[in-house]
This record gives sequence, structure tokens and C-alpha cells, in this order.
Amino acid sequence: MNKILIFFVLFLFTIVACDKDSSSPASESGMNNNTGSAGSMSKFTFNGNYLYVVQGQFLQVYNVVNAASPVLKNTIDLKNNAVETIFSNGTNLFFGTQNGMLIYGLSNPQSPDYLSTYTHLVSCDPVVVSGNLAYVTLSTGTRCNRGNNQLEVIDISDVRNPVLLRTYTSFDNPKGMAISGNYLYLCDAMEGFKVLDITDPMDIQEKSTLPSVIAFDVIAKNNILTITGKDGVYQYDCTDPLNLKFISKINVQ
Amino acid sequence: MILKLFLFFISVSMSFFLVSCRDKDNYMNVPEEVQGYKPVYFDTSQNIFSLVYSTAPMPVQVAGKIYIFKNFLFVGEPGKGVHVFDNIDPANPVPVAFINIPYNFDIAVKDSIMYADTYMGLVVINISAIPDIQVLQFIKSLSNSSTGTPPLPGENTIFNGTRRISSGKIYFECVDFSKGVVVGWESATLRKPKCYQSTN
Repeated sequence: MNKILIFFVLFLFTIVACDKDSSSPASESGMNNNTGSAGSMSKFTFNGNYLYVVQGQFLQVYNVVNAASPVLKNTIDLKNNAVETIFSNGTNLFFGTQNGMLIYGLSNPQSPDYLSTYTHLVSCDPVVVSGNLAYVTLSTGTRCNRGNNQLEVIDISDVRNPVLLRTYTSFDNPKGMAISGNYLYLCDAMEGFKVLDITDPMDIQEKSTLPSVIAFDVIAKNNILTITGKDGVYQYDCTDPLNLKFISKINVQ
Repeated sequence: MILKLFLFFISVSMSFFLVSCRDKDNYMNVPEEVQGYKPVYFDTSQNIFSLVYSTAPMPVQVAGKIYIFKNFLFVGEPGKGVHVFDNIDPANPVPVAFINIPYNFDIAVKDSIMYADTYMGLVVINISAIPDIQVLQFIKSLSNSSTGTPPLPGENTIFNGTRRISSGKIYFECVDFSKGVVVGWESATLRKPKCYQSTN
């Protein structure tokens, strides 16, 4: 009996487990353990020996091969004065802007080249990418109150021609996201922190909610979710994404 | 007639929404005392190297963006700097230091070197001996635009958890550009503020 129980528990671990190679926008794309991890709302990202910084409508490219002596190599006009976030998947840069997603290529990392724009309603917020899919949240910040509150799934298998696959509208005010394995963790402002099963991008399932975690961004790394929001910074164990376990909280005062 | 009056009222209201600053404090029932924002100025004549330093840990007032580097967890204090926690035991993150960086919202770290945005550029900081830090470089880049209005919820990551404010007005102390550039806003109790912006 005990053996069966142990086997069953082990089996459970094999099917859940929050992937260490999460697609939280971060260093992962740089394949460099010496760089850190940011949330999806970041305006900084690394790729290889380069640091990309969004400042206003410009993208600055720094060579950081010698970390202590960064060299500004390039400044690119993104021709969009409302760039809010940057995400790198190693081959492309994805910018979340108030009116859509910009995609740049990294074939020459010192000089990213414009590939396409996916346009949506005027709205705020970020983009995360996993494989051939980009997830974009749109939320009605007060500055962007013409927008909608929704999650969009966009096929980016052709980065020159991103195509909307599906829009999910059952959200209150979705903001930062992180993907780990088959799960998308979503900060839905006052509606709480949500766990979505994205195994089938055409049929994303909302699995659970932490209603008291009023958050705007999250990092998924090493089986831990670090979540920042109104009341402070939470850490949850996401070894089992369907059963998040509270670890600690840094309170705001 | 009633409809016309109503439309008139609406259009008058709309015109208020288009302007954010009012000169007359008795314009629209300005409260004697109200919660709002006051500008944080940055005197551009100051040397950035003297403004970036580490202090003993401080309470987090507003949790901004987060960043993880090795066993360290960084929590932004929007517009002011970064709280550093030793997170080797996630059940008990231990505050290590606060790094004061004016007008900072974003950071990234590589090889124990922190890159942080600040007014007019990027500051490069060696954090390998945190809580001691060493400011290595300031790379001046494009100028930030100085704003004359406070951030709204959701903007610049300043997040107060307020669902779309329906009350209509956010009061703030009018900007006096002779005091420098505005690099941030902080909550304050205001007396008869002359400036406000509308949220809807």
C-alpha cells in the first residue's frame, strides 16, 4: 500500500512541476547565469552581451561584454512614444506599447531591425512570448481608458506577420504575466492573481485565483513566483501550479 | 430644455477634463484639505554620483518593479531607488540595504554590476560587496521629459491598487519648474490645491 502511495506521489511530481526554464522575461534568453531576471513590466532586458534599454520612444543598445564598462553602441527610434515594456526570446525583441506590440529582429544584436507591428486598441501593458505564441494583456490604466481589459494570444510563427488567434475578455484589469511550462500566471489587479492553463491556447482555462494578491507583475523562476503589488512582495511555491503555496511576504509600510 | 441644460453641463464638465491646471482655487469646490500628490524635484545642477548611495534598509513604501539576481531580490521604490533583500531563504527575505537612485524605475544586473535608469541616463553600480556599493559610471543619454502632472494609477508602475477611480479628480501641487525638473510624485495632504487632473 505504502509503495503505491509513494509511486502515486512521485507520479504527481512528474506531471506538475513548474518548469525551471520559465519564459519570464529575463536573462534566460541570454543563456547566461550571470544575468538576473526581471518581470514582464521591465524596460530592460539582456540578450547575449547586450543590454537593451527602453527610454521614452528610443531603444538603447549597450555592449556589456565587460559588465563594469558598458558601451552605448546604438540608439534606435522606435517611432512610438508609448513603449512600456521589452521582452527578449533570444531571437527577437518584443515591445509592449500603448497601441500594440512591436517586433524587432536580433540577427544583428547591436542593431535590432524592425520586423512588424501588431496593432490593438489604445491600451496599456506588456507582452510575454513562449514558442510561437505571444501573450499580450491590455488593461485600462487611467491614461489608457479607451482600451479594453483582455488577454490576447498572437501567433508569431511569422514574426513579420503576427496574427491574432484569440481574445479572452473575462478579466478585470490584467497586467504583468509570467509563463512557466503550460501555465500563465497573470496579475489581474483587484481581481487577484490568476493561474491559467495555456496547454490549448485556443481554450485557455482559468484554474485558480489568489483573490487577496493584488498585483501588477510577477517573475517565475526556480519553482518560485515572486509577485509585486499593492500590499508588498509575495513569494509562492509553484511546484504544483494548481496548488500554490505561500512562502513569504515583504510588507509595504 | 432640460436636455439642453444637461448637454451644456456635460460640455462644461468635459472642458474641465481637457485642462489639468486651474489658476483659481475656488473654481470647483476645491477642498480645504485633500489627499493628493506633490512633485519631487531634481536639481539638475547636482552631481549624480553624490545622489547614488546605499543606506541601511528602509521600509518599502510602494512596491515597484521586482528583479532577481542570484540570491538577491530587488524591490523598486518607484522614483527613489531599490530595496535589496537577501533571499537565500525565500521564507525569510532579509533586508540588506536601500540603494538611493533618484528617478529610478528599472534595473538589470549582470556579473554583480547593476544598471539603473535615472534622470538623463544610466548609472552603473558595482554591488558585489552589498551593502557597500561603488558607483562606476554615469552614461548620459537622452533627456527624460519632465512631467507637469502626477502619474496616474498604473503609470510608471506606481500602483495604488485603486480600481479605476470614479471620483473624477486627482489633486496635486502645481509644478514650479524653477525648482528643477520633476522626477517623481509623492502622496501628500494638500491645502486648497490649485491643480488637478481628471481620471475619466
